Amino acid sequence: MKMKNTVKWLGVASVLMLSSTAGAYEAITVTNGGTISGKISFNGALPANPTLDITKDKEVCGTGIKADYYVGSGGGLGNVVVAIEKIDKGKAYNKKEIIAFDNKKCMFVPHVTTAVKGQKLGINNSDPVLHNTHLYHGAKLKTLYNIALPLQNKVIKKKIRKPGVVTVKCDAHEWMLSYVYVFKHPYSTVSAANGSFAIKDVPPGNYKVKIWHEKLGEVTKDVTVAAGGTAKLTHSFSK
Amino acid sequence: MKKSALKFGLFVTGIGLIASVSMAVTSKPASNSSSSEGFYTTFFKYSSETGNIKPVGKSPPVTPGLIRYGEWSYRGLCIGCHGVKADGNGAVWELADKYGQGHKLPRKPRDFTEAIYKVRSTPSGSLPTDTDLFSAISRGLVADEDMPAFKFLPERDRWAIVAYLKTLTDRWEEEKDDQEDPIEVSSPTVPTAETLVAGKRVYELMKCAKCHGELGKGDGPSAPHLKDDNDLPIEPRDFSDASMFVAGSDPESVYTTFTTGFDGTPMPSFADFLEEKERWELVWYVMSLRNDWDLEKARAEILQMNNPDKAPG
Repeated sequence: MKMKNTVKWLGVASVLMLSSTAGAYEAITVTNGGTISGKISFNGALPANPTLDITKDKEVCGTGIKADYYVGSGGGLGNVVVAIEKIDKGKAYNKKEIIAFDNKKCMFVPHVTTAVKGQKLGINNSDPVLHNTHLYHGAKLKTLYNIALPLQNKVIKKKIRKPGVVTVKCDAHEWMLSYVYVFKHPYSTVSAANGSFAIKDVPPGNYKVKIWHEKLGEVTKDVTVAAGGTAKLTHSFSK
Repeated sequence: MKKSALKFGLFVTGIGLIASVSMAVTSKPASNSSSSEGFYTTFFKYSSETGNIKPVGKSPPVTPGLIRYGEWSYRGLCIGCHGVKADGNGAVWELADKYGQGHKLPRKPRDFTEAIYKVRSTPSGSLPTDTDLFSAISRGLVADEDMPAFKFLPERDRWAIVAYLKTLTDRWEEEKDDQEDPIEVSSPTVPTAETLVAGKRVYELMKCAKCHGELGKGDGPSAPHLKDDNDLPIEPRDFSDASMFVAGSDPESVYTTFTTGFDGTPMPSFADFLEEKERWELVWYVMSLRNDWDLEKARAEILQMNNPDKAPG
């Protein structure tokens, strides 16, 4: 019985080793890395954010709150994910980094963030009401985790195990919404409110770069990064 | 030719299931001692139940033969609801959902290609254990699930279906290194009047009433807005009716339910917020919300369980 289990686990282990070397990201020393930077903008006036229908816990959540789908200033568009689509080797990153994620006044903070597969979300509840942080994976919105947060200010750490778009909702407050875009590598960022962004220490080469906004969709652009250089990347979304 | 014959077979299976399921449902365990219940449960053997069913024998080794056998069992028994593609779009679901005919299932059948399982012994986000799947097939999922019990099948057949279900998604392969162990459930404490008072406090602290209501009737302020992974409305459990406890109405199953949560539903995991002692207090408080529950009887059962040598009394 025990013997059999050992054999089984050996088998599992060998399959694991094979599969983990296949798709995994490898950290190397990047000495001559370049930067991809630029600005994401929006053509014309930003669409208006709808007023959220706050159905409960109004004393904590407030009323007349606007959604945070479109954020921008000076023609720039914030909360846009910019990331290299595929890169197998590159800069090291902190695997133990805890990505701060708060439930505050019945809104998720931040609204859009990125993570590397295997990193942990540090989920907090700043409100004196019950929230639950329900993570859904992919376009089909299938449960990844569903964590209750009945008590205030206790950080719960949860590993993100799959790459892709993770939609975060709260079943207790149906208007709450945010996104965590998970990649296999650390070459991702979210544009600031003025639309600016920078991805640093990119090994020289040709890349496809994904530009994603929750409501405006996704485009992919070709970018060439020269050793020690800066590759400019801009994109303008329109409705 | 072959294909149409298969289709006809499926149709017959589907109709059989519709009939048996609807009959099983009309004879809920709540209608005790009615003669019809005896008839349906013995004749159709499909009545789902809330007692947890664990395998008695050892699970057979997973071989291509066992998986094939599981596949044929699936085609015969499961396809009517879970569908040809095992995505939950079976004839029973589609007939009612798209065409408004036949038996309307209250919940969409499980999509095995996504493998998001509600009743598990593993933490939220983890795949269930093989025994979890075996138990679900055996006892069915009562209440809003309409998943019939297949405990009448020999254990080997049920294990074969488990083995087949695991081939319908890449998740078992992909998540091997991330798979978390089942939660540990200690032996139930012996409930007292004080346990129930403490449990009520835990119930309040964990804000269970938000969905389940102050008295556990499933009527909390969040109840009307809840939806499942299929974006279909879902109701929080009414604790007064033990025959509706999906994961089982024994203390261990209640413990497991709030610890792991029900993936694919709004029921979250409370694992990170409860100490061992509080968990049992909460279990007993939730049990005390059942209509049929009696403190003295429960005490006697636990004492008997802890000291099986002593005669009850």
